[in-house]
Amino acid sequence: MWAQEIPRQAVDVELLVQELFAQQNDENTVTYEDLYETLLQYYRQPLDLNRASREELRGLWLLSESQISSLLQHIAENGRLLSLYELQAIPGFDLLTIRRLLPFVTVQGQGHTGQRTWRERIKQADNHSLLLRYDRTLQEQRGYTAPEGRSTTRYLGSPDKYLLRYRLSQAKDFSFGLTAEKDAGEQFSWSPSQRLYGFDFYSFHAQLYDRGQFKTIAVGDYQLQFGQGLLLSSGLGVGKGSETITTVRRSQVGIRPHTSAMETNFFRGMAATHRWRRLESTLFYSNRKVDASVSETAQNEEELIEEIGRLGSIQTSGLYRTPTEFTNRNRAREQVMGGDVTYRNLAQTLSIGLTALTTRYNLSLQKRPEPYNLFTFSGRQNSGVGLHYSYLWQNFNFFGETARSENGGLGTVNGILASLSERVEMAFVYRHYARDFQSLYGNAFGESTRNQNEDGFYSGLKLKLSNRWQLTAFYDRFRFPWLRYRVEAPSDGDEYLLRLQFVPSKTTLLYAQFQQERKARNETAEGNALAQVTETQSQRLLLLLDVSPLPSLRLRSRVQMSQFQQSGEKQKGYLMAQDVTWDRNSTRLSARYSLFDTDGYDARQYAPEQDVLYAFSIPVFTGTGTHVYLLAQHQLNQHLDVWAKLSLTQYRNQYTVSSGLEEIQGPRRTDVRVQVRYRF
Amino acid sequence: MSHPLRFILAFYFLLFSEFAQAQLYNAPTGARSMALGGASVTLSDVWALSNNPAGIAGVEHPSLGAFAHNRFTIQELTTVGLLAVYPSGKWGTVGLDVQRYGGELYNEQRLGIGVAHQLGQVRLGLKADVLQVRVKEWGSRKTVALSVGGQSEVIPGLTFGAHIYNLNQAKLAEFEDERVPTVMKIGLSYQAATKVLLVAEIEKELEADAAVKAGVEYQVIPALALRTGFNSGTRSATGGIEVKFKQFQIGYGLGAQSRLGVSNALSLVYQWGKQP
Repeated sequence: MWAQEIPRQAVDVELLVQELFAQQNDENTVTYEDLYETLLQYYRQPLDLNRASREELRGLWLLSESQISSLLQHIAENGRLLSLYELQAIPGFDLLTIRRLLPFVTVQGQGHTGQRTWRERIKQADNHSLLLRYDRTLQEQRGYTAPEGRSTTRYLGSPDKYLLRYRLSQAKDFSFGLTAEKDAGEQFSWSPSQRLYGFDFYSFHAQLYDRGQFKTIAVGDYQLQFGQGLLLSSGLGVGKGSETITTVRRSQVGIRPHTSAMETNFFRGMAATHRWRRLESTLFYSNRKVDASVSETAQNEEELIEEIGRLGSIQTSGLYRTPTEFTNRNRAREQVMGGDVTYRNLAQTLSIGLTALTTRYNLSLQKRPEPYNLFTFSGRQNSGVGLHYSYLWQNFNFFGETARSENGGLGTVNGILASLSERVEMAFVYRHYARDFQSLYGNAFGESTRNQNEDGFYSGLKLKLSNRWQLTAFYDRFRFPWLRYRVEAPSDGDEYLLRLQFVPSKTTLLYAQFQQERKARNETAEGNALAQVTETQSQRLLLLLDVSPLPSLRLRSRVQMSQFQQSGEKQKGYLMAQDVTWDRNSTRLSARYSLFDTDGYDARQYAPEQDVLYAFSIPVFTGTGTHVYLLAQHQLNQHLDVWAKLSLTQYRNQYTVSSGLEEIQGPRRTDVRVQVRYRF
Repeated sequence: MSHPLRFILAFYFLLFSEFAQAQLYNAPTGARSMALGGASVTLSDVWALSNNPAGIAGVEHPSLGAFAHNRFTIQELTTVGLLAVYPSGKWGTVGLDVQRYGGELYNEQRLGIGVAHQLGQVRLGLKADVLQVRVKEWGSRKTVALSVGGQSEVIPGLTFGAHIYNLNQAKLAEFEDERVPTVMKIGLSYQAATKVLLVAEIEKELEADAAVKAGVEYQVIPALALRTGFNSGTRSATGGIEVKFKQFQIGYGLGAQSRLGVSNALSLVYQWGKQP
């Protein structure tokens, strides 16, 4: 009965990120690490291929539409997959695809959860674990020193960061979890009058799946994603990256537990999805406190506030380190109510759905009175209604969503994914988000983080030149008919990417990637009060070689170069890194040595690196210096795993690191991270 | 539109020839080329006579093509042309190219003769264009531009193409040493699958920045082709469709430029002696 198991490879997060996700840019101020963590947890629950729907398979982003079709057809014709080895027999599944897929899928035997008692089910749950993590920067940052000097603002708490996460879950059956976090600089104290109970952030969820007619019942914190994410998107959108085809379409994930420590962009309350014939209906209600600050022009605190911590807002989210940040914590109350009805045909080739939601604040929300905010939501109430569809015809998938916000603003996103042949895939996405389209939880495909004030057309191509060579490319053109943050005029731009990948053997991967972007930005000339909007050009080149000369040893080299030019001098950036990973029995050691040299902030370098399980790090480097890290992982026994990471960055020709309250005296920054996981 | 304004507009687009792309500059000719973002240096069809004369060596039957290309829906920014290609066997393939761009106040004329040969895997083509520019009340100028092109199938499915337009750097006027633009294009096309053709090229005009152009052609069924592409020089995205019936091919191309609007191209090809 039990399927033969292929030893599961460790997920190579760094490679995955590089492959799937968009490059960060300065306008995405959301802490990327949290977003990635969400994605990672989504990935960490392996998908049972025998029970996966087309929608779920799409959500992996790793399979083409024709591969999904042939997998589903194979299962329909030959019955359940007995082993993952059977994948090789499915037409269209090449070795490269299978190898990428393996870490994220399983094949399980006939489930019989119905007959087992709760006690048995909990005992045999896939995942029942407790995780503790501790982080700290060893050098003293300005925020922790004695208050003196011009600004006497200091952090309220200690520089330690704690994370606690408990999870008990079984795929397609149940999931319970608790997450608690204290960020560096936040207080760890018990003070009910300030609504502070030990940790700064708690999140709890309980979800049940497939109970009678209910597909999902959720209590606590959850996330929602429907249609193309124009109205409701849980942050599982990855945007433009070097995977140019599958990631441009959002899959309808529905209700999902919120398990990361991301303190924004989730719902708190109840939600349920009901199934009746071919219709799936979801209803949800959320009521939670959100952060808000009194705006500079406030005359009456109750009336004029500015929301913070939303996607795309200027301020860092979910951090309550200074007295001001702490005052703003949970200052306003947000209530969201809504639902979705989706019809799917039997073959799962057609789906049509209607989403509607309404949001209410107890205070009137005001944006900073800047021209670029003229069409951004303000007030007490907003609602939105939208229609989404997806239709599969042969190997062409047509999808899209059109929505209207309460003020009449329209947004629409429509696309086609086409498998033109076994070797050629293409994707096209057209989006038009009116300048007054106001979607508070939307994160559909686009150049901006917010789906507002943008028109664009994206074309993507993936070409399997042979079993060893693959070429991916995209070209995207966009236009912003209204002003944006740091762009005080209507503007346009375009971007393209080319990536050539070579897999000469099972243990070697080599690729080169080139990216070029043209975009407008403010430029202030000396003696001129008005900023001028001029074009910026940036280019990025990445070369990566990954070799595994021995089964226990893995080497990875990386060279990154970037250029940025507005109208002045070109800024150049350079980063080179060498990684070594040694894996034996229950121990895994990784290390990296990297050099960086950049001319300025606009030529900064991002380099994803390995981290402790579930954590993510993509440090950013400016200036000149070296960066080293050591990561050790050891499985002590069947229940206990430990991780430790030490990273050290040394700068040349500078006497302080970072700025503001984060400033460190001296040219060095050292971070430690320790993590323990206990599996019950 | 009043006359002075028309004149100013025409002149404006002449100055920014990169956007207007009149035939003095040897703009992509035919709906197919336009729909592929202008990446046509490797293609072999009747339009190759203007895009890369080497390509006509691959035309097997006498063909006649007519096209109209309007830019940004401004009447004066329209090119119309008639191209004829005749494979004469021993003497190679010869072609005749007649084009006119502009309106009453400003216009350009072209009369071109081309010849191309297939030598094993390599095609070579030569062309001479008589160009005339006429500005009302200012008079007209004539000059001759010479072009040369080559195409070669490097490995099965992968074709290389190169084209230099106006290699003699023909002079239009002594004033400011005004010359006809010299344009060089180098590109590749790849038959990725029987139905899918990918094209890409780099174009450099002597005095302008290099432009990257690329496109995809998808032959849904033998009688229907869909195309899309982009051109980084004109900053436009393009698309198009072509249908074939009997001895006719009717093509349409659409280009979108974010600031200036849309352009349209329509073309018709008739081939003699070709079995439908």
